[in-house]
Amino acid sequence: MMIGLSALMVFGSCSKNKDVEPAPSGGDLPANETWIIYNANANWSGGIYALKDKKARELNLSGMPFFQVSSSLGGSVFGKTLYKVNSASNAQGILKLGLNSAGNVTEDKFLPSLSSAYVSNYLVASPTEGYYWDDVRGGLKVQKFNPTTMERTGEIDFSSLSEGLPNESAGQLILAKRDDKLYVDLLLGTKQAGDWQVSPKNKEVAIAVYDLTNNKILNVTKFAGTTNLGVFIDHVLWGLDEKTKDLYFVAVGDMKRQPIDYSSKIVRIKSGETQFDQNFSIDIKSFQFPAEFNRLFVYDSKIYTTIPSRAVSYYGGAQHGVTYRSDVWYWNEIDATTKKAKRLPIPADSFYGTQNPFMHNGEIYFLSNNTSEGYSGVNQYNPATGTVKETFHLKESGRLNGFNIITD
Amino acid sequence: MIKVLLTCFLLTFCLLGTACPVLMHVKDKNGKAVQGITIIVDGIVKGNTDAAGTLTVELESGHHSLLFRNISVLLKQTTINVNCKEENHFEFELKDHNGKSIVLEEVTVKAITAKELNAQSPFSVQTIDLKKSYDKGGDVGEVLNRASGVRLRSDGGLGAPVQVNLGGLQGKAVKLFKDGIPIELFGHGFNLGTIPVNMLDRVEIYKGVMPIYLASDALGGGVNFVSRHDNKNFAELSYEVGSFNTHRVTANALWRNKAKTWYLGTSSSFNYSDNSYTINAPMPTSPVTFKNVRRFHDATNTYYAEGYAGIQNVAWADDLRLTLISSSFYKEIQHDSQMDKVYGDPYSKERNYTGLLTYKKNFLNERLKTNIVGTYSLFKTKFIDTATVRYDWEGQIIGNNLRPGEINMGNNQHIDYRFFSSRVNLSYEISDRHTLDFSELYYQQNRKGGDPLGAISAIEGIDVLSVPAVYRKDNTALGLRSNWLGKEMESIIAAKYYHFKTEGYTTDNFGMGYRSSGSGQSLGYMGGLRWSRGNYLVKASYEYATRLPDEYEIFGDARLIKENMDLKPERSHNINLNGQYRIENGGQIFTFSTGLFYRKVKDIIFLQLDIPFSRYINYEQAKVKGIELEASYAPSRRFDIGANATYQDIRRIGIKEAMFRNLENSRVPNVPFLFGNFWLNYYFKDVLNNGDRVELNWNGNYTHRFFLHAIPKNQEPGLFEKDGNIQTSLIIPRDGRLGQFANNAGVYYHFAKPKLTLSGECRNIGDVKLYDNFNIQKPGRALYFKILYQFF
Repeated sequence: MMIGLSALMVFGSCSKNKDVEPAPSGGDLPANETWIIYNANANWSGGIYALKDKKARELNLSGMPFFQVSSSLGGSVFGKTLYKVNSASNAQGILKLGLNSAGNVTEDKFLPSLSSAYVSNYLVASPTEGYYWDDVRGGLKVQKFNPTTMERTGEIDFSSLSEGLPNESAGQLILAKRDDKLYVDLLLGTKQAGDWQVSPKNKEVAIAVYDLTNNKILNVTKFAGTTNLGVFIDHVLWGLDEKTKDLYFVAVGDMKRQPIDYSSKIVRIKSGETQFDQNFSIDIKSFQFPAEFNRLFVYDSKIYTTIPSRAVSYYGGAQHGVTYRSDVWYWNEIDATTKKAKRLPIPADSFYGTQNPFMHNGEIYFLSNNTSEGYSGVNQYNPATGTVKETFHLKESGRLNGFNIITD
Repeated sequence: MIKVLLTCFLLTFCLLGTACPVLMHVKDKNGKAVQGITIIVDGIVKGNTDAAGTLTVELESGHHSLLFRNISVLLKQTTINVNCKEENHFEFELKDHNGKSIVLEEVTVKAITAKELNAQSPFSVQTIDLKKSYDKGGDVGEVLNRASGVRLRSDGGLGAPVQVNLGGLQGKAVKLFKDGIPIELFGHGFNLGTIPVNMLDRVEIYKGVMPIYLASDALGGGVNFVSRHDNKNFAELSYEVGSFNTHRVTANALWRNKAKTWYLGTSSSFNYSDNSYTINAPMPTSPVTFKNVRRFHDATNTYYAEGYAGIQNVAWADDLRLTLISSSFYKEIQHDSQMDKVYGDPYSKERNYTGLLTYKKNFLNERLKTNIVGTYSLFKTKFIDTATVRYDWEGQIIGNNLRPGEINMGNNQHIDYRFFSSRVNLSYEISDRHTLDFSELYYQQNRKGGDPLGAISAIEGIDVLSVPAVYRKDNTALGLRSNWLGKEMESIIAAKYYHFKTEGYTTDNFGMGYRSSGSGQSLGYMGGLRWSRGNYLVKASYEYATRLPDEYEIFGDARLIKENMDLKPERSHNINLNGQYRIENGGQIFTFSTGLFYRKVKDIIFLQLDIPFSRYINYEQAKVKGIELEASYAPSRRFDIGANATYQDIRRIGIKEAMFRNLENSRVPNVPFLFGNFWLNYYFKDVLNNGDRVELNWNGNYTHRFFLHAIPKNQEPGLFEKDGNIQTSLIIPRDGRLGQFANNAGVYYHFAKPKLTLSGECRNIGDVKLYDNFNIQKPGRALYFKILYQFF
């Protein structure tokens, strides 16, 4: 009995700690903006937070409402709606989320993929127009869906482009829309045993251009000297320069073997064109090698991406922490004309989060997770003035794997 | 240093003298053999006389004093002179205090059972006696799951992977043994999800502190399944049939010659199930809808055939046994670890051949007890996932001509394992009060195989599995057991030494492959104290425990999981405090027991998930505080009732990375923390015929909801609160219930003649949706019938 009583004393500490430290006020922050923050734990699980009144320069998320997910890899915003790859429990598909009356993130609808693998890339083009890729429905088919109802509405068939190779896909990693045309990566090759990527039959990258008005494949454009457009399904490696309307893509190359002749490059299809600009490419070798480009945002012919401070190998080392997941990824601005890079005064990143920079109210926002500094935050850069200031940083609140802004 | 001490210890044994067998025959004044007389030689209890009134002991040449006792009554005191060059056979006639020869009309001898013996040890140990459970259906996991402080978690029906949660720790932290041998050496045909209770005498559950004879790197305790070692000849056959096309057959037999010098036996089982129970599965509609469907690719087919033969009660061996085992395990794989993905073709298969040689002998007037076991096993395993089609939950093919492999990137894996293991247990009675125990476990695993779809090194293009990998470990323990205050108090102290070495194939930062090796060692120690008087029993025990990283954690699968040659052992401070109060009044028995446990674990080996490689790292620290309570009441021999409950507060501590300190003191996720059981048994006698017996049984268990992923401590919902200010569906169960309650009932009829038992069980009577692991539904209501026949 004494043991039981002492146990009660021991476990008296099981009651909840209701004391939540109030976040510092962010008086200068726009009241009409809601920040969407995706944080992640060491095992990639985490939460999606919506902060409107509680925005602050230093954010302690502890105690704030969140929507819990098994895989917190960020997401995208369309209007006031959020989309992310896979369900809360990481079932394959596309999840639509919204904000409830209290301003908290809630699950809306889920469009399941038939695939059992981590392969379902997607694009939301409008409230009624979306595209995704599902290997079970056909590697050379792009699926259409309604992002409001999250119902599959049809498919676009690229099967005529097949060369009968073991691994063929269209739109698995690049699904880009400009005007009335859809640009999808065309990868025809073979996946070798133990490889993550498909090795293309021809050492080149290819984009199939589809005319959405006339529902037909316009052409396939190719660019030699590099391979493999894109890398992960929720890691967008294309960008539309909203000022020039040029469309840029990242070819990461063969990340396992890192061949010097087919290194990672940024390539583009200029405004109004459906063919690669064969006169333009930015080669990672110009800055660092072995390495790859792995982020992309373009505005006014300025390319915003990361360049590592030393050679890195995605496959090398006992883990990424030895090389790829180190704090070596520095944010740079590369002039598309001169191809000169300028390092921005933003904390180096470790590539745990893969979100691209984005523009909001004329400023470009960059995410950084820096393990050695214990830093997870966002910095904003004004391309007109060249100034950088910190938007916010998290205080002991997990890794920052995604950030969006919703405006009232 | 410890190695040196152990060597000296062994040498000391070798230098000691030899003994010879001495036969003693005890009779009354009528010359009738007297059974059950305790014979004490030179102050040491040597045993009881058998039905023939005889007892054989090992004694050295020379004079020895003898005491003959019946319970606590001294019946005779004498001396004998043993000459080991001759045959030593002594006759004794018992007389009363006045020198008159006595006749013992009736002697009741109650031997201490292994369960009682364990209960009297300083360890926090629970022993489940299975001798009265051979009529029960299912596997031993169901019995184990009803023990306090224990929660088993499985992915489904028969043959599904099962892991034991014990004192807040689970998975590899809890080691399983069969007769003291690591259970993995017996193959998947003998595992928690397939072992019928008929094959076992008892189950010993060691919570946190491991006894010396099981010298092993168990971080959070262990479970020892003890095989049947019946004293009389028997042959028994059982057959069970149940829902989901489930069939189980067991055959157990033992035959000894009359002189009890040699024996033959078998302990074998066969299991089959389609596991085709109904689940509520997501359909590929948009948005998602759910439908009740039957599992269609989850069949399990296993057999375990064990035959043994031995020589016993001879001068050079108390028992020398050769055991040969052949087992097979075939399991279809229906879904992923969260039941989000459905598969229709992958399967795993294993054939296992094992030989064991066991030697037991007591030397030096029974003071030195030796028990030596050596095993050799060959495993041939396959893991096949080559399908290029995909299935939906209704078993329909929904995709063709896709990349091979439904689960990952395809596997056509064939691996051969060769295991060698040995265990040496020595126990030496230094005096009436002190005993020295020594145990050494050696374990070696050799792996070689191939997978054309598997891991190929980046530069050389080598199939990594084709490169032989070796893993060795040895665990040594040396301890002292002592009795104090008569036998009211028992103490134990011990030191343990752990060592491992492994060799395999690894790659460097540039993808170059080469053979590599790693090793590590560690010291541990433990202590325990037991005090008992009258109705009270109190125990305290502590162990600084170690778990060595295994070969898989160090080398990974060379494909999705990368090697980590710097992996360190997991360490834990384990403390237990146990108390028991027992009242017997007339035919009534009331028992109340409680246990407090504390664990502080560091360097927990954690799978750091990533793409393209994950790897195991020493990452987390955790603290466990827990309590378990159990009460049982038997108002008569015909009825008993009982319940137990366990609460374990398992929390992460000492988070090093600042950015993750939001989870400091958060509950370790995906582990049940509040659970319990109840049971009720009723017995009838002489129902149809004299000697017949009927048992009715009702039992149930409750598991409180728990979370799949970590939640900051200040946002944890209270025990009985809803989700609080978090929106999460990642709860087990995820349908809003605060917990899962399931109950089972059974009726068992034992015919006196012939020795036949018929039983029927209904499990999950309420057809409740049950989940051990997130989203993975367990079987609903199921019926099982069993027939058990004893030939002799």
